[in-house]
Amino acid sequence: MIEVSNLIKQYGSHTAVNRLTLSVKPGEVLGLVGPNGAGKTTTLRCLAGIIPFTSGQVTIADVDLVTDPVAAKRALAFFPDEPRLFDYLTVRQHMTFTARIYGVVNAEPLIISLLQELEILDKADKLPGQLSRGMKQKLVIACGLLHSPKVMFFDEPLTGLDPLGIRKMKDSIMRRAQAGATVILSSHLLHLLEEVCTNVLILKKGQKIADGTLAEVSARYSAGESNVSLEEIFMRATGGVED
Amino acid sequence: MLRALLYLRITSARNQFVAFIKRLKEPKYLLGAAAAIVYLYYAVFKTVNGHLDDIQSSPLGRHVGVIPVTFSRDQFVGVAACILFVLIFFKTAWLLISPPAQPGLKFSEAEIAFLFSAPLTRKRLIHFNLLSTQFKILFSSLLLTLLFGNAGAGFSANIFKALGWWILLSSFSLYTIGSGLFIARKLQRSVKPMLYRIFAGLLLLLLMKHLVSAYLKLSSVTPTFIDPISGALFQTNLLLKAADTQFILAPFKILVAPYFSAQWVTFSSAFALALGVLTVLYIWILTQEVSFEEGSLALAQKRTEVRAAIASGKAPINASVKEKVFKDPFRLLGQGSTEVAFLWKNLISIQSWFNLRVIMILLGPTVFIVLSEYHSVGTPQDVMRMITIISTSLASITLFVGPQLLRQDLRSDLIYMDMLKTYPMKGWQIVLGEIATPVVVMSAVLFMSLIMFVISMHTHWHSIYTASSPILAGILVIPPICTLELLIPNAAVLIFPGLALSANNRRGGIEVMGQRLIFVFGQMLAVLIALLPAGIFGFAVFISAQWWASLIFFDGAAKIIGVLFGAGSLLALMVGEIAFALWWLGRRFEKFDLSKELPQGNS
Repeated sequence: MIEVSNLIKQYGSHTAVNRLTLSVKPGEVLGLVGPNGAGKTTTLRCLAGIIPFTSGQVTIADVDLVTDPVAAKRALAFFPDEPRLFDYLTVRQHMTFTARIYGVVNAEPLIISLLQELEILDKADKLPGQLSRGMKQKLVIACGLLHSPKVMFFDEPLTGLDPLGIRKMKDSIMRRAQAGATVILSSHLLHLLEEVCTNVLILKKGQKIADGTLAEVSARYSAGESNVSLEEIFMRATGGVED
Repeated sequence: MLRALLYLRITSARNQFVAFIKRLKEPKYLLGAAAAIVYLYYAVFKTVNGHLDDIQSSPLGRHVGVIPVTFSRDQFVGVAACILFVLIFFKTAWLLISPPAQPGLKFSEAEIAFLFSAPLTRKRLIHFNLLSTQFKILFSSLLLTLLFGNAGAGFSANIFKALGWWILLSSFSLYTIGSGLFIARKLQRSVKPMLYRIFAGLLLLLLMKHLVSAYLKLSSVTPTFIDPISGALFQTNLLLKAADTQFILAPFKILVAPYFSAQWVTFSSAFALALGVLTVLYIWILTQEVSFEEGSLALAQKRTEVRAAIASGKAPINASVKEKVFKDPFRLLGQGSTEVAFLWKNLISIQSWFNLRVIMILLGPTVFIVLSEYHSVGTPQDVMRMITIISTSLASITLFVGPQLLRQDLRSDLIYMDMLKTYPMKGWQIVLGEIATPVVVMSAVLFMSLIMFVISMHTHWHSIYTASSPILAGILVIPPICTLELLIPNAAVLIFPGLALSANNRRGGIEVMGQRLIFVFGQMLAVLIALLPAGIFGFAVFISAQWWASLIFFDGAAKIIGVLFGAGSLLALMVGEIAFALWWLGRRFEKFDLSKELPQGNS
């Protein structure tokens, strides 16, 4: 569902993402981890079509992102770490606007059901300025799910959420994956990876240094030891320093 | 204690100045600063002085009509006092119409954290605040003296100018602080603040009506001048001779007199008098028993929120409308053209700016004056003349300033670029959708102005055909002209996003002012280049079509046919230009790499 081949993103002489190749199938959740400055957000932004990449090939839901970006974007949803909302649109107006952008048929009942599911229906006529951070995050998710995306990208999805919000976000990601969505998420929170992700990819200085299922990556860095925590594996893989 | 406050102020001012100088190392800021200085020097100083010299030396200036036009030093003082009076009048008007929610002095959050909890009296805090404003005023006075001073006039003359500026800026600042505190306190104590506002608004309207009547009477005795500045100076000269004007302007004359002093003796006495007025204003502020701490805190929080929003790449929100929900402009269905979604979204957003209060402020006085003039001194012809002036002014303002005021397009959505880029739309569709709202609003205002103009000029139209020609042409050409105008600033956002960001940040400084000037002139030039060939072609087609049609049809019909063909061909050419611009900008949007332009928290 997501195929990435030799993805390179350069800023002048600096290479932010270097020959990244990955593949994520429907129902899988790939966790993108790495130290600060490893290129996680840049990778996600390239895959979501937000920033152009220097070279490589990206296929989203069998559509080439470069040759047909509109069709590829129709199949994906990007959830940024910081909820970006229009200041003057209410919750309902955000949903109406998004429905039109994605051409959602019979949007009204779908909007109600999503807002109900995310428990923000009572906030339908509120502006972003009147919502808590968690509520804003929920609204961003509701907007993203409105067109039933096949591919989802989450950039630090738990940032700023309270314990209950974190629990619900994890459940939501897993539920979507079980329903057949393809998910890539980036996070510093290793416990999130353990609970949610089926696969993990470790990035360092823009390069993939390890990938596979959690068990595979653990086996590679545990050196025969048992009960090595993911945190320890991360430290060993990245050398324990920032990029 | 005062030493500590002085240290804080001096250190902050020094660091601020160093930051300003460092910013000038960036070519775009240096270029901006240079442009602003050149503009101010030539457009303001040279023009005004040149006009005054011309008027004084020309025969027309020496003796026009029955009243000689001479500009003595006293009259310069009078003119400057008039300007100061108008500034104070509008400042007061604005404070009455839109008063602060609670009395407050401007402090930064850090100052509040350090000073409000320190063992300082309220008077000390006021002194600190006044000291802070004094640093800015001293710097501005120096800058203005460098700009408007005359190196050949000698040291003393420039000292008088510098101190004159200081008096003017200080008095305006003290009045602003004092009146802000006074009005906010009155409103807090008033049982019905809305009634107070309505009363104050009516009072201002009556005063404005009186001023307009006086102006109209004055205009009727003013001979025709070669340029508007000479005419305005002539009228001011007449106004200054009136007894009631002399009475009203007396304190303002005291304040502007030091600036126009030529000798130490006259300067000393004028300066002493002006200091007296400043002292009165200072005592007025000190004696107001106002609890300003809460208001200051709210002001500082608002500024911090705006700064934090900008730093994180989000739009700063206007605190006054944070909780106001705006209605859908029309029902937006789930399916259909995606560009319409942007029109819908931005029409909601524009309501925050284009609300009933703004419309009332803009149109209320005009309607009031027109109606009152009609029933009192004016004739229907006068009213029509006024409508002609209003409609042409409105159209000119919309054409020249409209694209700068109506920013509900890519300029305001630049910070949402990562969101926009995920939408399944072509680049040109997003650009078109983004500019749709300002195009619709500008077109509506221009079309309304055109209809007002046609009605007001009804005696000049020989038939319904000639009267309908400009309306027909307007329908065809107004929307594409507005689109072309708005494409330029939106193109600038995609080409120079840094400039657009600094404009959105509302950052001050002479270099930012210069950048905006370059931008405005560039926009006008670009629109002119885009319109000129299409305009020439359209006019040629109009003349030819009208001529051919006149051979077959009667005059009125020939004119309409000419307009149809002329405006139609103009429209066709402009549509071609717009299509090309949209295609190019769309490509630019698709390739736009915001990670290179905007600060990103993550990698």
